Amino acid sequence: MHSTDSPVDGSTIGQSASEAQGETKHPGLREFLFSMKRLLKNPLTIIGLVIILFFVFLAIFAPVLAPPPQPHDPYLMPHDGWKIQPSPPSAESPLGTLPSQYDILYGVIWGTRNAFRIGLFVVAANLAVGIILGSLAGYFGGIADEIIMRITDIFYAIPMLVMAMALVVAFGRGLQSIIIVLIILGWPTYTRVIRSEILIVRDMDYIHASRASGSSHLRILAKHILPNSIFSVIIVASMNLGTTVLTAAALSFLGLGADTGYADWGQMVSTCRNWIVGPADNRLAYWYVVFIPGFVIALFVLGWNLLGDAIRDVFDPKLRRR
Amino acid sequence: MSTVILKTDELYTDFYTFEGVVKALNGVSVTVNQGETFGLVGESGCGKSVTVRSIMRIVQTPGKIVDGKIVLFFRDSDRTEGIDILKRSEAFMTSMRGNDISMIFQEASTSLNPVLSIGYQVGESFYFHRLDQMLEETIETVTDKLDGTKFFVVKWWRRLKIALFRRELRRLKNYKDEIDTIDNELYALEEATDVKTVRRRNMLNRRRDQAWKKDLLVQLVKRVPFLKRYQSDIQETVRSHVVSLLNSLGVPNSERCVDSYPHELSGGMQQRIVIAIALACNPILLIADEPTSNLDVTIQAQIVDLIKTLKEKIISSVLFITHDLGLVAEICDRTGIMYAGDVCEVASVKEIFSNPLHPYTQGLLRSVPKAEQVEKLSTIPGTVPNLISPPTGCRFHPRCPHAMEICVKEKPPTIEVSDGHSVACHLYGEEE
Amino acid sequence: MNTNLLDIRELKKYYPVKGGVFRHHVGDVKAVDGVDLAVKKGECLGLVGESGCGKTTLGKTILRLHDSTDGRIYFDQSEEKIQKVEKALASKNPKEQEWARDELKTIDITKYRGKDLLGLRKKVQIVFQDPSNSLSPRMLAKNIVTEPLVAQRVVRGRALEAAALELLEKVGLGKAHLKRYPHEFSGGQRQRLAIARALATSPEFIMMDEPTSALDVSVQAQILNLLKQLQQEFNLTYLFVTHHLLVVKYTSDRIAVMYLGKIVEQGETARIFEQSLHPYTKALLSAIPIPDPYTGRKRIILTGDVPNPVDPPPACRFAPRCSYATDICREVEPQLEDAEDGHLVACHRWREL
Repeated sequence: MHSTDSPVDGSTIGQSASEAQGETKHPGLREFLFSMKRLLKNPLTIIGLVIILFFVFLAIFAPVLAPPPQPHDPYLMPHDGWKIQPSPPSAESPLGTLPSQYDILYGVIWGTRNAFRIGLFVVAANLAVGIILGSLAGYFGGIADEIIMRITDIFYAIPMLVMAMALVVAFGRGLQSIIIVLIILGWPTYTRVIRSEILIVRDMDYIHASRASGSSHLRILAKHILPNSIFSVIIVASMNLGTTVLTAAALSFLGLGADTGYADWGQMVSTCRNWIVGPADNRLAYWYVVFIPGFVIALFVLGWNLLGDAIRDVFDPKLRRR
Repeated sequence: MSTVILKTDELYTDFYTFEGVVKALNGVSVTVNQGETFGLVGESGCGKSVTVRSIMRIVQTPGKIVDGKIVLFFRDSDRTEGIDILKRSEAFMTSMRGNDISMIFQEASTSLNPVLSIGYQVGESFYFHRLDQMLEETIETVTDKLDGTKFFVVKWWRRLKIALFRRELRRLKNYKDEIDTIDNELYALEEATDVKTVRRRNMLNRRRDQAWKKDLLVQLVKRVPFLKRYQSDIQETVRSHVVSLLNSLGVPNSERCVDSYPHELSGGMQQRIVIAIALACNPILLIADEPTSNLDVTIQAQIVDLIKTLKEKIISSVLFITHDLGLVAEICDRTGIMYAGDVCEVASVKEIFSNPLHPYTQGLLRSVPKAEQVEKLSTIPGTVPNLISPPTGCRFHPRCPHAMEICVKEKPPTIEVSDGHSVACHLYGEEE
Repeated sequence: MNTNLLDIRELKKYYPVKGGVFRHHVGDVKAVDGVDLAVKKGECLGLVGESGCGKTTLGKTILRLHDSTDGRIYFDQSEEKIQKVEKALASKNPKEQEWARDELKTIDITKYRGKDLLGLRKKVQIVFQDPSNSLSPRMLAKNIVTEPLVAQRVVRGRALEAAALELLEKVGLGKAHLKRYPHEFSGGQRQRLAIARALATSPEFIMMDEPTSALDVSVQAQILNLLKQLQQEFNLTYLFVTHHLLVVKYTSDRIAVMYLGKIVEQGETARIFEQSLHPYTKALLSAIPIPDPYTGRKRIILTGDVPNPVDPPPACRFAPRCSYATDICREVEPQLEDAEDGHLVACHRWREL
């Protein structure tokens, strides 16, 4: 009703600071720069950004950093010999090798591409399905809402491992199966998040005003509802990129992913199942086979989590101008 | 001569936000006398909420009180000087809030905890501030019951309860005595400013914060599953007090109300409960921060009526914040008009309406639709300034029709034009 | 021809309450329960009432933001036609009723669909209460005010900016305000944007849903003056919904008082203020805080709370809180009677009080 007396919200009091900048910049750009400035003030954001940029760099420059021995399929890791026992870090393989002498460094670098592939595919597909179904359920309500929500309930009840195994039986081993599993199991969350945001936005006065102006439902959805409700999903998505890779790695570790020798982080840990603990006198003899791929996965997830946190801090309208 | 009970003196409060320092209060001096209703009027962003929050020392986080004094003159007749509460410890303020000064807020529905019953929330005041009185009464009731008991087990159970209550009471009394000595000494050292005294004051403040020690045995018994039921007696005492309080506030069915939850009550009833919580310990000053802004007109009339009756019976003074000049005319005796962190004018209500001196007050009165409004409403040009970079000198000068050169350079001093009517404007400074 | 721009007959809007194990229809929230109202061309009709009385629902139903449960709303129709249709509806002859129902499809706006509805939206607009909620936070000011034009496909592309500038100038803003987001404006300026948006399609009727309740006192005066000026300049008709009686006195020519979904009193402003007849109106008028400390006015304090529209009292809705209620008030529902010159009141005992 009556606006609060808090002077912290500087925008409701007369000319805001941005009035001084006037018409010089495009307003969208102005807002974007403001957000960027806010983003970069937080040291954790910068760490997250650095980590992700590092991985992006690795992914883009993989052919340069680790030239593939077999050009037709760069994801097959090179192995220098056939010895089963993993070799510790040395001059030829700086990060050591996996059992059967697959080079860990190569695997890490090319595995970055796979990680991004999995993450982006799964999240993009989840977003697409989530937005469509969530908008239908949230905006139109009624029976569409009921049906879609019950379908998501059903999908929530599917156990991940069983689904993964079934798909592996159907489609064979490989990253495709993992991607499909993660999409099938991930879309309900996105649908629910978008639906709840839309339920809040749907009753706002500007939606009513737009209807009173004669807008069609599609127009309202596209121009008003989605732009205002999409941010929480974006935040979920950005954090999910990391955890998706983690889950994919877990599935690979259980043997449901790619074949041995494929450059995928989870796959790399999977081949080392028997070598996690070393011989009796030196338990940590093969630390590098588990630690290095594991550390890389953890770093990837950390980077995306920090970035997602930072994005939320900047774009959440409630915390925006604090 | 009316006695002053609260006086703020050149209060400055700043908010350290991302976009800069918001200078919310720019030397606010407000005086509240005993037995009167003081209305603090202003539009949004003028700093009236910040003022009362500073008085209660509950300013929200990026804010800090940076300068000034807040002096309270309270009951004890032997105390002629006031206590500057800005120099006191947090424990002192905790014992004041809800006890001597109470505050009610704008939204009653957010002031009440939705998962706790009404009885619990109103009883909290009694538990916190009047525990000794509750304990004494409980001891009396249980002792009375003890006389009529026959069964051995029940007799000893009651004796145990009395012993525990007495123990708690004793500890509480010791604490209160210690606090009183500390307070007396602090009061004696109030005015001195030399380094040694300041250090002693700080040490005393710290000691006050740490004085309360819990009794181990009582804490233990409170957690033992079956034994902890002994507390139900205190709860009974508190409940009876709550019921009588709600009755005096005109809440129908107070017995049932005590057990119900906030969402089961209407808006007006919720606001009454909030007032009940505020008045549980008979405060000297009640601060009301726009309590009726969200209510319907008829409910607002009820609440205003309630506050007026309660003023005679329970509270002595009310500091009422509002933006509605009609309400001011209804309940207040004296008013202060605020604009952008400055107090523009203070006068009795009749004076303000019949003889407004400050240009802002005049503009405000002209822009409110009145009962016999014939001509067009006049408006004040411009908008409320940004407090991060407020106008220099008098903060109203960009919008003032009588602005002069000196208004841009110097902040106007507060001049007392007639008895009880003071204005902060350069127009009246020269009439000295 | 018709002097009435808007003619509402027996409008009802019920919200179904679902309860029980199978969520079947248990009861209704009778937000608007049989309202008859007429708004003359070029006037400002003030609709007054407290929360829960249904005034906002009434307004939104007129704008087809809600679908009505029953009743007819005639917008800009000739008087004879309305009377013919109403008579046919009330008659017992099934053929006449059927003819009436057919006619209603074209003249009753609650039955409009598709193109008719779009055409209606050009002529009927709304200004909402809270300007921070009624403007989309991610749209620029120029897009906000021209949205009706774009949605109606009246203007597009380059001409938009010129149209936006024209609209902003009508409400006292300028070129500098075109490319800004809503959060960069003050409350009063945002409300001006909302008003500019309402004017975009050159409507004939604008509904104001408490346009100044969320604003400061001095800003309120500016907006009220602006609304008056715009009404004269563009020959608009207003339905001004508010709970603030002094504001409604300043702006409106006629007033209608609503209580729990029904109109209890209606008439010219001066009349209602000087000689109100319904007990509720009297209590409402006496409850307004007047900014004048010298009035020695006696206040009528109502007991009880504003009641719930789920379970309204059977006969006169106001009977439980009325200090003049008698048996007839509790048994028979009062209808709107004409006291004098169009001053309508729904009370059994208005002659004595």
